[in-house]
Amino acid sequence: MTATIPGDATANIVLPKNKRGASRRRRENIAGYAFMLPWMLGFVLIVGGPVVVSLYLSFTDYSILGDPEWIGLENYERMFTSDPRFWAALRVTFTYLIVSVPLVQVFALFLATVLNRGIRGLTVYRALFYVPSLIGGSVAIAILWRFIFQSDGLLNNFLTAIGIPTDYSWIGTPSTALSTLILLNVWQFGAAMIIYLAGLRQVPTELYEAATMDGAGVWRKFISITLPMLSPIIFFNVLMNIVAAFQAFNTAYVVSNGTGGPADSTLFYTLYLYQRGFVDFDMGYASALGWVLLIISGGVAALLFWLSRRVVFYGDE
Amino acid sequence: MSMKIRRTSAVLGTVAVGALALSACGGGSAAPAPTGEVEGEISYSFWGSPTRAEKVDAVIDLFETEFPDASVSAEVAEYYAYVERLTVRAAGDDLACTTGMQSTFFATYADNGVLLALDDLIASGQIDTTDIPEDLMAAGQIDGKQYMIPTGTFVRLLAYNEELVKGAGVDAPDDDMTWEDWADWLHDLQGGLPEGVYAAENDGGLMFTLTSWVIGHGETMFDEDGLAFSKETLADYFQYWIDLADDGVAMPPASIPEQNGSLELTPIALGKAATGTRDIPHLFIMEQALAGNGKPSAVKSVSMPSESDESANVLGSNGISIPESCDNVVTAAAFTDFFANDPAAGLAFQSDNGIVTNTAVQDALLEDAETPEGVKRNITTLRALTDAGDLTTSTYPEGLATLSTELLRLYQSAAFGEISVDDAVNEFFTSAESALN
Repeated sequence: MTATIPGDATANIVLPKNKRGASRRRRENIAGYAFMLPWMLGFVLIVGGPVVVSLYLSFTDYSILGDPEWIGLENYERMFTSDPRFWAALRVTFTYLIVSVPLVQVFALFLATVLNRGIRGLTVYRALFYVPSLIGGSVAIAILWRFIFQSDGLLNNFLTAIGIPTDYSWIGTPSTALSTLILLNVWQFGAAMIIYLAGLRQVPTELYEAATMDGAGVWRKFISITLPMLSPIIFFNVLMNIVAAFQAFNTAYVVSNGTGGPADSTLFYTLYLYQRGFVDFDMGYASALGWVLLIISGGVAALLFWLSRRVVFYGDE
Repeated sequence: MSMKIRRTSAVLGTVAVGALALSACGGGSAAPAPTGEVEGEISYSFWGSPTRAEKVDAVIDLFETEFPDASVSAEVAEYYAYVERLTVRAAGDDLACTTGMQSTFFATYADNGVLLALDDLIASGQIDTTDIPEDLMAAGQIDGKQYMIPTGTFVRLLAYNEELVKGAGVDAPDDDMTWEDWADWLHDLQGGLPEGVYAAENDGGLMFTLTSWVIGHGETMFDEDGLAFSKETLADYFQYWIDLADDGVAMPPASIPEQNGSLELTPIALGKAATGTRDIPHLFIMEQALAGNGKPSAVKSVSMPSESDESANVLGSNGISIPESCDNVVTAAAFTDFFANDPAAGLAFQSDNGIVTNTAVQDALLEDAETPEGVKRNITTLRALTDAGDLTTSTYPEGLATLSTELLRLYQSAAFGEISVDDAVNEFFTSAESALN
């Protein structure tokens, strides 16, 4: 099989068809790379480059104003052996994660199940529950949170009005400050709820009908049908919430005025990293903190994926 | 109360920090002052509100009228954002030719060779400092070199709500108290205050109040090795505030995180506390806030308590520096000189960022009918302190921000009983070793 190139001065040259195809593929490849170029440049210059540089900086003593000085593993050694605030930040972050992520799932799944019953005004309720997810992470809500939980805040005014007078500072006391931030995170269950609601709509109704005919009750159907069928979505929501919990920053920064206080009770890992990098300008140490966070969050995600093989049901298995 | 002779010790912090500068990498040019025409474009960066930005614009207009071949562009940011960006800009040799600085953080830049030593420009007369008192000039010096021209000063004093004190039936505090005297006075005051109002704010975690405590106890804050005061002094300081809070005289430690740095929302400004350790320029702002909250009162001040002959009224300053990277030093010097000395510029700026340091400008402001009453009062208070020699100038080393965070954190930990006072003190000293080196 042969072909000529139309309109070409070399029309008398006859190319084999497979060569013509290779030429087109090459042109398509070039076009493809050309289209990808902006993204690739952005990735290399804005993401990949700084990531590699931060790895290098994590082995240096670097204060921004001077040149980085290579110190090997000293930053990591200091972090694990002589920095109590590193451990405090880990403790706060994991407490936040372990308490708030399951609570978000429970609230979201419970309300999704209720809303899935086809109640009247579903769209209104859905919107109402979803709104906190849109605004909950904002600085404005974090400031509002301060006004709710400070000693003369809305909560204490309410308690006083119902006969429980108190001027307890919920955000100013170490034992309760983190709880207020966990509550704020749980309040933003709407996004997870919407995803659960969509998942519930996908569960085949014949499964419930068959279970009903077999005499299964509501709880048995929830445990044996709903949860397994929703397990990929639960896995997705848990993973997303864990990643978000590791990255939590805004609310803690605003509520604690950037200190992580009182007494480090709200010192989230990212807040501590920020303090070391942009308050102390210890960029080498902050880079090391960033890499440890990456390793920890990557490890947790890997653990989740490993667990998912045992507990997540994809329907085609 | 014992009478104490107070004297100014303008060199305390300067000597302390000087050695740090010596061991650092350079710091300041030794080249003669450049000469030439005042022309071309420069920038002036500063922190503050839109109101302050308008006043700066007015000063720039006056400057450009005086020097038609020169132009200045203003760059303004909110305080914390400004301080944060400063280091990043310095790292990129991108500082404005005239950069707003403060005695609390300019050492970081001077020690790292970012700032130009201004002594030659002063000696050549390009920057005139003859009307700025020596004590105030010291706030911009390290190792005897001038890195910042102080243009607006602040002094830590004991502030009190006059109405609350009168209402409690106790005499006003006096200028000559020891810390123990003040504690006794606070206990008397608390007995006469309305329910829910505390005699004092809780300032146990404030670096500048600690500075007053240390100096008032006859010690020095910093030297070439880092912290220069004893662990016992810090332990006593922590315990002093913990005891006041335990007695219900100072606000509980849980009140500290509720404050967000806004002067209008401090316990004194809200009428929740009768006294606190505050800077002079802030008193009038708190008066206005009290009036706005329906609790009008004058906010008066007396000298900080002291156990020694040393004045514990610690002075700091805002000012202008010129970076080494500036390519138009002549115009930068002219603008700095104009900002610091020109009476018309002073009237336009109205002492907006600290009490204006130039005595001629102070006179102009005192004589001008449009000068706000609070500004006039601040100037009068500063002059009285200067005349009495009741001031101490302190400059601070690189790492102060870290140290301030640590002080607050460890005071809170001790006050909430999470760690002992001794452990808090030991941890503070350990942190200081790394922060100051």
